[in-house]
Amino acid sequence: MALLLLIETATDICSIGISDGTQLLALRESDAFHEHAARITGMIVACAEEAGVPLSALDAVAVSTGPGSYTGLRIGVSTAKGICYALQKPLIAVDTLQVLALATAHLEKRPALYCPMIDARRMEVYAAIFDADNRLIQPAAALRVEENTFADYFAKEQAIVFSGSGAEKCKAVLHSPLAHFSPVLCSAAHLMPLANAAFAAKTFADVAYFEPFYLKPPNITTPKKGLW
Amino acid sequence: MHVTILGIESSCDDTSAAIVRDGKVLSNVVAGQEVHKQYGGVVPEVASRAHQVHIVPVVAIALQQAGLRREDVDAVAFTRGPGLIGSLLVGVSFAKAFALSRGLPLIEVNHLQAHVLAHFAEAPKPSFPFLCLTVSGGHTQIVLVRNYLDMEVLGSTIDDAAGEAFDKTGKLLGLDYPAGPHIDRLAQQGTPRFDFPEPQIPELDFSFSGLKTSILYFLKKEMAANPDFIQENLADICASVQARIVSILMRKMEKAAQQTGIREIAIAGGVSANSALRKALEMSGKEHGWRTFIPRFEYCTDNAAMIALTGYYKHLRGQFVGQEVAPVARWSM
Repeated sequence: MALLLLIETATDICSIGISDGTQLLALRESDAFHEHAARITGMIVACAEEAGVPLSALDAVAVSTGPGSYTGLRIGVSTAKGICYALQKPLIAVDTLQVLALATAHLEKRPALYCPMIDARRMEVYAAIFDADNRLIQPAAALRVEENTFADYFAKEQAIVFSGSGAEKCKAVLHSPLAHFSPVLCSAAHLMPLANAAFAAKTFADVAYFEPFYLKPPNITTPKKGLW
Repeated sequence: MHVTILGIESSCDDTSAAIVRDGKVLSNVVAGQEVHKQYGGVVPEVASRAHQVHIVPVVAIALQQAGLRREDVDAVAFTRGPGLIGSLLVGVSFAKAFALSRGLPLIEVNHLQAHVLAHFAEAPKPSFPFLCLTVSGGHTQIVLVRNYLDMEVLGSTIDDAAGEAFDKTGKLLGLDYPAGPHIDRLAQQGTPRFDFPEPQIPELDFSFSGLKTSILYFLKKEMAANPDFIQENLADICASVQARIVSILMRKMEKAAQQTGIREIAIAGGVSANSALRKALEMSGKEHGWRTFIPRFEYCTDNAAMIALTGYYKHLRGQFVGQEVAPVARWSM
């Protein structure tokens, strides 16, 4: 049984959990705006105390890779690296969207497609599409969601269940009766199945060089060519 | 009993880790970011991402070079600010998690206070009280240093930093970023025959934005008459701009020395590598009977040794912070 610390900071919810391979021993969540950096380690301590396990007893640290908030991912991944490096524990990287799709499928139990969505400011969302067995159908992309964005799927009578922090704002433009909305949001608790599978398969990330899944290159305005 | 501090610095574009034991620097590892050259300045998002891949390697190498293990660290000191928030988040989050995991106390460090304390990395060290002019790409200030942790800012820039004046001039002249070293090198082949006005700023404060504007207008005017003006006069322009930046800095330093009666005078920050500034400090020192101090280059630019050193002095006084600490972009000393 693998004792795992679970870190999910890809969205406005800072979520920390500890699991023992079969069940969640502790969970702490905070949606305090811009407070992830201040609160995250305190939440880890609270989880460790509730679970009754010192951090040194962990088998690995699992972190949600993104896509998501750059700031949130920086905090989550740097914290995960700090613990892994300090205690020489392996790092497990789990895809934020895949985790969300799997958790939504578990709850909804529909023979549908699953489209996890992470709010990416303005009308954009980071989204991907998975089938009911959590297999990737359409890879992650930053989408500006309009009425026709998923028209090809709906034309084939394929229902899609939308979930995550980005789903709510797309409700207004997705009118198809085949569009369903689930209230499932990102949570460290959802990391469990994929993190356990990765631990069992010994699929670990490189503690030194692992980077979050930013999805988009940095937004850079190139300087004007020549001033004269 | 040894006191061993791991220092972590990630306020701008350099990721650095250092080990200081009993006030002595055992290692000081810096991973720079060449990538910003192509953008003509530090791009915050690019810097933040680079810190994420540098942070573990610099800490691992700092421990290795010090000949120590993770278990030997007694406290973790980190730059809390001021700086770029995305960059700071990486170092601060890593430092907090490392300290939490090993049950170590945390020490927050003000980056500007650390620049001053870089003077205690090695001999010769100034004695208290001394004046320190901190000049870098982001900061320009005169600090009265009464003791390790007792400092007062006597004056600072009201707009651009001195290093920014170098960089912005470099941009106008088509020089690569960072422009300071290029201007310094070119200036050595030129004469300061163009006169740029010295801003009239009260007390011990500085201003460099007006200088940038007057350079821009000067170049515009000259280039209307001769499109090749920059190429033909590059060395002289660099010498003139550099001479003015240095004279602005030195005039205020002399004023501060006069007002306080202090004759222990130090320079810190990346711009202290500038050869004209070093020469001017030496000349003024001879003239006024100052003892002058400039740390070696590796302790002038952003580095974690100065963070760990500051951490050491705070450790001696039991100045620790809790795990709820978060980085701050702005933080006056």
